[in-house]
Amino acid sequence: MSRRTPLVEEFLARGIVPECPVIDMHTHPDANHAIYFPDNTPEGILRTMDRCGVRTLAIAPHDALVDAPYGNAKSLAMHRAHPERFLVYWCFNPNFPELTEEAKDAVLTQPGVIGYKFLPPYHHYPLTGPNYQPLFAHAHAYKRIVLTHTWRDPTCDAASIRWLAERYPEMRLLMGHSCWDDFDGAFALARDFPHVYLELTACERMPAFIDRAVREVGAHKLVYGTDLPWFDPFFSIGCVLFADIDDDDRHAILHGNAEWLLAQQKEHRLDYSPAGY
Amino acid sequence: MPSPLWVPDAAELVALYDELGIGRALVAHACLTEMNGPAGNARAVDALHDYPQLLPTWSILPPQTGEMGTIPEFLAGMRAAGVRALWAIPDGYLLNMLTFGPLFEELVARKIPLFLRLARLESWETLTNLLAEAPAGLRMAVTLPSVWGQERYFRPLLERYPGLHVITSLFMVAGAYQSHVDRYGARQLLFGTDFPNQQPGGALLMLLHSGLQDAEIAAIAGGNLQLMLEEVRL
Repeated sequence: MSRRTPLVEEFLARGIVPECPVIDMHTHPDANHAIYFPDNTPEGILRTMDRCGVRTLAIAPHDALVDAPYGNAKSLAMHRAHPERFLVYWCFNPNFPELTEEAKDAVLTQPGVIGYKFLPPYHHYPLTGPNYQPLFAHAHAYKRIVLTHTWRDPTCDAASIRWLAERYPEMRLLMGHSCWDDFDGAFALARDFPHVYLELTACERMPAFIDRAVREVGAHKLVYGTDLPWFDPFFSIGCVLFADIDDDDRHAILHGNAEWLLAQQKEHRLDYSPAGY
Repeated sequence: MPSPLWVPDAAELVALYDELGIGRALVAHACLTEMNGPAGNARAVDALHDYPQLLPTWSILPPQTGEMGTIPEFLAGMRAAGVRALWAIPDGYLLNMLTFGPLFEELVARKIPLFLRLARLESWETLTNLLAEAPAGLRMAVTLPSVWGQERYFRPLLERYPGLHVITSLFMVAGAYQSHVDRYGARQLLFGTDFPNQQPGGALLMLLHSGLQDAEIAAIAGGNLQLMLEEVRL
């Protein structure tokens, strides 16, 4: 099958294809101590989005992963300023269980908040640990999205995801990085559980990862993400375009699956109404 | 890191690059790292013989062991095989002037570029030490050791050593091209994909829609490398 389909030709020629917008479900739109990001202010992130045809980001700023109260406030401010462009994951550090109720409340009541973001290895706390369980139960009860870092790491490996998926079947679980270094494990999870999704950040650059995921799991279970600004959107889009898949698959990955997930959030929440969904 | 899921032969590489619109490529054959130096170099040339759009490279070894012949013999072999660029793969030797001084003097005189794959963050220190003692005019190009932005490491070196180039195969941070070119221009960047370790379409689309001027994109996409190879005097 030739990769030079009409959709691919459009992207090569124009870069932005209005009928194929991009929704990025895994981003950290601010500075980071360990790496230089050229244009990391909210305005800079918007410039990158506009340059690359990215309509909406689901955000979890680095600051929110380090200092959740400070960073989550920053996320809400970004959403208030640009409600159509920035949706919010509420970041939670399980070493501070006293913030559990605030997190549950935020996910139900704060405008633009679509779910939780967890980062187990950096917080040195396993996904299966007791401090995470109230939020998984909450996401299950209200059918919220959970984006968690997943890796071949005892805090967040495929076995941990299986344990959670069996217990909380109504949450929408995005496996950030698709259990990096255990893609077979991630594919099995996405096949076995309707509510568990592969997320593309960093994996998309591995040759044939997308091809295999579509063939073995289905394009409907792949969600586009970049860790923006860690990866330029055009880099990741190029990986999707030049995978050995068809244009329907490319539409599903770049925006369709995210649109469906976000529409589900709207359905299950009366006060959730960001423009465009 | 997961291993590449497949390794192409020359025909498969040409077919894929035709689809991507990549017309020529400087190829570091897997034999350069996986086989004994001279045998790997010979295999690399043989594998690409029928594909003039794929330009072979050779790897170097310390001249003191005699494995690559004398320096004149090695250079004559390059001339005969049409090899115009070399790779240093310092896995089992020290990349410094004590080991390679006479060879590097020849590389400078003949404007032969030396490519270096930085294997880990600590490799930046090796490169820094090498550049500090290498003869002026040594042309080098390096691949980055990580997909995480490396500007804090390589910008000081690019400012100090105009003969140093960065290969963009792991140049993935959002806005990396525009930020670099705004400050340094396009001259020291060489487009690369690191295929088959990376999916090549990402690197291609990122450069094409980087926001740079067409002339800057053309320079990075091939013009800089082409000029470098044209200036080689074998």
